[in-house]
Amino acid sequence: MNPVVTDENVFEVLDKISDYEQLLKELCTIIQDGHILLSRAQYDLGYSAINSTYLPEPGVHEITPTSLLDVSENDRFSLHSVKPDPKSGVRKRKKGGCEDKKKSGDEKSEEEKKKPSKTKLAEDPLNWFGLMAPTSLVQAQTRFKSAIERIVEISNLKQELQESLSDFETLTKDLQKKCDVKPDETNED
Amino acid sequence: MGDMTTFNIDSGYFEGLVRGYRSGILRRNDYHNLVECETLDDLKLHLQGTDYGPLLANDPSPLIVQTIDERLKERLVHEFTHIRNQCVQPLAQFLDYMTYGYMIDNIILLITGTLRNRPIAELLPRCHPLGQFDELATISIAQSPAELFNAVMVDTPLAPFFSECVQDENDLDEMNIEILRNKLYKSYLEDFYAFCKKLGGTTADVMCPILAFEADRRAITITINSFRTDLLKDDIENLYPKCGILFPEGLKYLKNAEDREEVRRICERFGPYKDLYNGVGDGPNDKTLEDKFFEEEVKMLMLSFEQQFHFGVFYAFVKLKEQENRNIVWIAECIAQKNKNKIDNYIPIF
Repeated sequence: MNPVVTDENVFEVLDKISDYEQLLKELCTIIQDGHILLSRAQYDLGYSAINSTYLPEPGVHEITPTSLLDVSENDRFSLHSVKPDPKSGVRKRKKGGCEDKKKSGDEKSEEEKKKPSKTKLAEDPLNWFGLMAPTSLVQAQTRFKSAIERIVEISNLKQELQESLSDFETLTKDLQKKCDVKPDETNED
Repeated sequence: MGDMTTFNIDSGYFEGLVRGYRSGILRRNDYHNLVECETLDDLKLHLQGTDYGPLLANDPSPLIVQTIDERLKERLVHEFTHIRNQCVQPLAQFLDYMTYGYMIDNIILLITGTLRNRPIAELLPRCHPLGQFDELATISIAQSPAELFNAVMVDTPLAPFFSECVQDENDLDEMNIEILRNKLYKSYLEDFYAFCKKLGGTTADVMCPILAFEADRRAITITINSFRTDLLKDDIENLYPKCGILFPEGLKYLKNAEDREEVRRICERFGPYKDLYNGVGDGPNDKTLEDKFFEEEVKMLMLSFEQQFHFGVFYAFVKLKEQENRNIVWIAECIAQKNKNKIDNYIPIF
C-alpha cells in the first residue's frame, strides 16, 4: 500500500501543538494565581503566620503524599489522590490528660520504641499553617493542585505529540522514497 | 470634662506626636504612584518622596519584598517605642496592652517552630519586635500549656491570660496550639476591653466599639475556618471572645452554624454587620470577607482621630500603619511577581 500523507495527518499534529501551547499558558496562569493567593494569605495573616518556619524538613518529618502518579504500559501518566488516614494527622484533643498518655505509651510495641521516629505532621499541608487557614490559602492550594493535574495532562499530550510527529516523519520519508523510485521506473518504460 | 482639663498634662505631647505621624500616612496619589512602578527599585524611589524618606536607602539592589516588610515594621516599632519609653501611667499600661497581641503571636510561632525542630536562633528573628519579652527564648522547653505556664509564662505580663489553659494537660500539637492561640487572644481581648471600660471617658467611648468589632471579627472568622476541622462545637464556643456585639445571642447562633451561608444569615440579623457580606464572593471582582473586615476597621480607626484627649488615637495609629504596611507589601508582591491584575486590591486609608 502506498504511504499517503493526508491533510488529516497534518491537522492532527497542528491541533496537538495548539493544545499543548494552550495547556502551557493555562499552567502559567494557574501557578501565577497560586502565588498571588499565597501572597494574599500573607497579607491577611502577616509574614509571621505564613513562612518557611511551618514547612516540614525532609528527614526530620514524615511527609505523606497527597497524590500518586501512575505510569501505564504505554508511558501515560495518571494522577490519583491519596485519601488521608482518618486516624492520623491532626488529633482530636484527649479528655482525661495524664492517664490517657500512660495508656497510649504502654500500647506502643518495643520495636516502635527502639526506632527513632520521625515526627508525623498533619497530612493536609493547609494544616501546617494552623488549623484556621484563611480562604486565600485554601484557594492557593486548589490552584497548585490543578497545576499538578495540568502538568500530567501536558506530559501525556507531549508524548502523543511526539508519537504523532514520529509517525508523520515516517510517512513523509516513505513517501519521499517512493517518489525517488518512480522516475527510474518511467525511464525504463 | 475631666479628660479635657487633665489629659494634656501627661499625654498631650504624645497625642500631638501621633497626630503628626498620622499626617504622614500615604494618600491615594501616593498609592497611584506606587501602583505604576515596574520594579521594586522604582517603588523604593517613590517611597523616598513620602514620609518614609530614606527608609530603604541602605538596602542594596536587587530588593526583595521581605526586606521592605522588615524596614516598614522597624519604622513602626521605632515610632511606637519612642512614645512608650517616655509616657507615664495609665498611657504606659494602655500601650503595653497593645503589645500583648504580638506576644501571643510570638509564643505560637516559637511553639510551632519547636514542633518543626527548628533551632531557636532561626525562630527568634522572625518574632514581631513589638511582642518581645525576656522569657521568649525559653518557650521551647514546654511540652504542654500547663508546663508552659509554670516554667515560663508565670512571671510575664501574659500570665493572667493563661488561666483557662493551665488545666490543659494535652500535649502541644497542631490542634492544641490553635486552641491555645485563640484562648489566649480571647482572654487578652476581654481584659483589654475591661481595662478601656475602666479608664472611662472618651477612651472607653472610642476603644470599646473597636475592640467589640475585633471580638466579633474573631468569632466569625473562627466559625468559618472551623468548618474544615474536627473541632467540637463546645470547643469552638469557648474560643469566642465575649466582649462583642454578637455576645450572647449571636455567638449561640454562630456556634451551631453549619456553613458559610448560615453565618451570612446570622450576621445580617445584627445591625452593624448587616451590610458586611455585600460584595463578598469568589468571583474575580468580588472582595473577600477579610477585606471587608479590614475596610470596616479602617473606617472605625479613622473616626477615632475626630475626637481629642483619649488613648484611642495611639491604638488607631498603630493599626493604620500596619494596614499601610500591608498595602505597600501587597503592591510590592504584585510588582515582584509581575502580576498586576489584582494590584489595586489594597485598602486606602485616606
